[in-house]
Amino acid sequence: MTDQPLPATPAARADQPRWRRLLFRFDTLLIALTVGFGAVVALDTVRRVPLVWAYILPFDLHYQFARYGLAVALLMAGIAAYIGLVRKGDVTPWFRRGVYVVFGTVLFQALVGLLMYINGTRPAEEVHLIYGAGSVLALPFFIFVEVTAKKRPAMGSYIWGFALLAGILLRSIMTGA
Amino acid sequence: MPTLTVDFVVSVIAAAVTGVFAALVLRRWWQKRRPHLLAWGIGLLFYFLGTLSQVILSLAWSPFFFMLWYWTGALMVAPWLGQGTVYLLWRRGNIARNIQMALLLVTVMTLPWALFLTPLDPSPWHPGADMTQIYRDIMPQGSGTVRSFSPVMNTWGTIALVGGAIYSARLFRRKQIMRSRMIGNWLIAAGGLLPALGGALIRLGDPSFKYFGEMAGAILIFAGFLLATSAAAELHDAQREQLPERQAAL
Repeated sequence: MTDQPLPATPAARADQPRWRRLLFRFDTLLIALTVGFGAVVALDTVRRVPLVWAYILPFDLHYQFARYGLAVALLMAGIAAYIGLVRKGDVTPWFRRGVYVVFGTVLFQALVGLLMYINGTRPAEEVHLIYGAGSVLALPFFIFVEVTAKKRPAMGSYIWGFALLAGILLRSIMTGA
Repeated sequence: MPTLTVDFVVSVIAAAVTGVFAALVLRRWWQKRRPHLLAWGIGLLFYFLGTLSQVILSLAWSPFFFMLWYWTGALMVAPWLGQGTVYLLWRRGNIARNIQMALLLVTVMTLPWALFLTPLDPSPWHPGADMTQIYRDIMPQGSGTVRSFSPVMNTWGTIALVGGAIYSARLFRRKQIMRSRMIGNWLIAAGGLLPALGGALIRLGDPSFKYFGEMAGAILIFAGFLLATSAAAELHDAQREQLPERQAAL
């Protein structure tokens, strides 16, 4: 892998090899970070409890991805605020794909929670289920506003969306374990 | 008949007024497809469901109608009515649509929470009971209830509805145009304040004004809406009458 910086302009980037363009895309990095985080959590679980790791893994994934989701939601809210409020810019394709990655992560997190619920595990407070459903619904509402917006720029939708998502995830964490 | 109290009659009148009002606004939305009419229509539909639940709760105990009464009256009516005003006045960017989505999210989240996850103790209820006096005993405050949402939702909704109406009324007054729309907006502002005042008095320990405030608020907002929309219709007719004259002049 070369250590040369990626060309700044889109036209210059188009001349780069496809693998190199893919490697430096924000959404690719976010997917890699998310999958890598999940892998580290899984490996840590296997190392800690080698005999019952398959039973413990959903608990660990649900616990750790809640914190990861909160950190990513705050990071995305910060990036959205910087692009939308400081630079007065619009939503870029890489940012939108990043939003889809975060939504996928939250959905995965909710599905793990659902699996745990089906297996008989109950949260500390029942309202955790409401916050879980709310965290899945939060982003699609604002994605809808952004992609159908006639008035541009529309980065405000994601500032709202990620700020709300962070709040809901925080309450989920507080009512979960 | 023990249930035929003043509160019961006031609740029936409020339910009738809000039912007709909601149907009128939703029909108007169906014809014009404007988002502020939809938000007002949803708010008024909640107003109707809340007052209808109040009537039912005077006659019989039902956990479903109790939570519907609380959810609509304490959480949903004010912000949805306020959202209509936000759509009408806040036209810059997508702010109104984003607030709408946040409101929709809270609506979707709090409905199952209120209906299915809130512990209730029905022992304080009796036929003809004033729900504003006993709701605290039926639904104690705690992290498992939706009561914590109530101050935020009501404050925001009342500021949006009443503030927006006052802003519009002052604008029409300053420009010296559409007098009936100006009066209509003052009536909407007063009508929005009355239920909020009732809610504030409940928090201060005096629930006696709530039912009357709800009914008077609904009637005032309805009257204000009719005045404001008749002014718009008059303006529309006047413009249509002027059009052939302008065409003849050309």
